[in-house]
This record gives sequence, C-alpha cells and structure tokens, in this order.
Amino acid sequence: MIKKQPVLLAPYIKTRFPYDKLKICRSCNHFTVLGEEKCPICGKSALQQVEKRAASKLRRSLWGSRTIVLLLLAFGLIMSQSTMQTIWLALGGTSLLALLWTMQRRSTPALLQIELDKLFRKEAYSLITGLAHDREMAISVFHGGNKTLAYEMLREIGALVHTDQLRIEQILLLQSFVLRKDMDLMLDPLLMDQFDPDLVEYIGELAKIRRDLLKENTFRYVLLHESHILKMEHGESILVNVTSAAVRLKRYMVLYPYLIVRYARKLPKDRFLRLYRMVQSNAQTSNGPLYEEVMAIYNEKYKFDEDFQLGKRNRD
Amino acid sequence: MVTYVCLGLLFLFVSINVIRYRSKQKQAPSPEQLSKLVLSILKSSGQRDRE
Repeated sequence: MIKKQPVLLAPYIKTRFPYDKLKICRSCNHFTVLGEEKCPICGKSALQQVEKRAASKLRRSLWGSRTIVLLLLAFGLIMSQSTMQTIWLALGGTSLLALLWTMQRRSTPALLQIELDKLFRKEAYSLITGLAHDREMAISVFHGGNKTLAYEMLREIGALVHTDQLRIEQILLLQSFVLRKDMDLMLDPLLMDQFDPDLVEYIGELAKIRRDLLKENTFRYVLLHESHILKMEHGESILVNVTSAAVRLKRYMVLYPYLIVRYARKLPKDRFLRLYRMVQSNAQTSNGPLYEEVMAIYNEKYKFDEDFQLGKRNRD
Repeated sequence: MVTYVCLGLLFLFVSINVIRYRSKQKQAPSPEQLSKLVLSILKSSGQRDRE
C-alpha cells in the first residue's frame, strides 16, 4: 500500500467561464493556464488574458474606423470652398462620427465575443499545443517529486481539458495525499463514464470527509457501476458511505430510493436516525419501499433506542 | 464639390459600419458557446492523442 502524504493544497480559483483561465503570450502566441506573467516557452513577461488580447485587437479595429472618418472629415474641410460647405461638412461629419462612436460602444461586448471566437478558431492548433505543453510541465514537476504542485497544475489544466487521462492523473495524485475536510477538493469534474476503481476509492473517501461534494452525477455514477464496486475490496463500505451522503438531502432520498434501500441496514446510527426522521417527515416516501425498509430496520434495531424516542417525543 | 463628395463618402462609410455592427450584435456567440468551442477544440485534441 502506498503511504499517503500530508499536503497543503492552494485554493482553487474559480472563473466565470473556463476560458477565463487562458493566457496568451504577446510575443510568441503560446497559450497557457499556468503562470502569471512569464511565458513558459519564450521566457518573456508577456502573458496576457485572452480577453485582454481580444479587447486590444478590437480597440485597434474600432480606432481604424474612427480614423477613416476623421481623415475624410479633415480632407473635406481642407477642400471646402465656402463657409456653407464647411458648416455642412462640420455638422454632418461630427454627427456621423458621434453615431459611429455610439454604435461602437453599444456593440463592444458582442464584438469582443466575436473577436474571442476568431482568436480561438485561428489559434486552435496553438491552443492545443499550449495546453499539451502545460500537461508535460505538470508531469515533469511530478517526476521531480513535487506531487502537490503537479496536482495543482493538472487541476488548472483540467478546467479546460476534459479527458479521462487527465482525470485519472488527478485522481491518482489525490489518492496519494492525506485528504482533509478543509482542502479545496472537487469531484464532479473528475467523474468519468467508465468504471475506475481509483475514482471509486476517492468517492468513498469524500463520502467520509466532504459529503457535500457528492451530488447527483456521483450517485448516478455509483448506481451505474454498483456491481463493479461491490467486487472491490472495500466496495460495500464505500457504497454505505455514499448512501450516508445521499441521506444528506430529501431530494436525493426521492431520486435514489433504491440505493438507500439496499444499504440502509448498514448505515451508522446517526445517519440512520437522520434517514428515519426524513422518511417520517416526507410525504413523498411515506408509503414506498424506502419507508417500509426504514420502518423494518427501525423496528428491528432501534425501536427502544433513546435517541429515536427523543425525536418522536419532541414531534408528539 | 469635393466637400460634398467627402460628406457622401462619410455617410456611406458610417451607414455600412452601423449595419455591420447591428448584424454582428445578433451574430455574436454567447460566453457559453465560446466555452463549448474551447472545450471542443481541446477535447478533439485529446481524442486524437488516444487514437
């Protein structure tokens, strides 16, 4: 068994959209999600946010149109032969310039999105090679022995690269750490379609320390691969822990009653007490198989338990 | 005469640009679409790697 190491993970900074994490080098057009200023390829301090790059390109094009208007206006004014012509041109020109300016200001958010779209399409190859280089860097950091930094780097790349290979690498690294409640952990982005025992082990650990991270996708994954999980060494205890997490919300109880029915008997007392109270207070489950199973377990194991009686008396 | 030609050209140039901006406002992709585009570019590279 691999000895797990205690680590301190840097908090994960979430962005509104995944591409907000991308930076591009002004000098060599290299894309990266790692590093703040220095480009990992050319070494220059020329990294900038992709949005900033698109904005500067857009600004140039908008100023180009304004310059054409100003040049035409200036040329017309120079060539004017009477005061009337000058007045007409000055009035007409400034009104048209104001109209153009207003339209440009109004369209800027849309034009920025178009510019970003163009940038991603035009630089698709550079984007792919940039992120592949980032992954290679993370792997070389891992081989250098700094597992924590390697995981943090893979986590950043994982915001954009949704491949099973990258997910497996992250899970394997996480499984080599002593996981704690206060760590900035994640689960949903690491879920895969296929069965993976390391992922299941990770889910089992999270079910003990961070139940809140187990959401609908996780329960669906567990249900889909239940038979494989049961064949694992601690498969059943993982499923019991996952069921403990499912008891957290009424919603999960309604959505996944059969998962709970199958493992309710093995739930620890505090989790079963929670389940019992939820079943009692929820009209939707008051006559289904879950209710019957919970009542049967209650009658068998906890009928004379003080904690259960206390809850009952309080309600009465 | 040249002044009026300039004014006409100005009017034409600004009109074309205004129409262009209006149509671009409708065509612009949403941030969600941009996210999908980036993810699909990178996903296709991942699939190519596996092949």
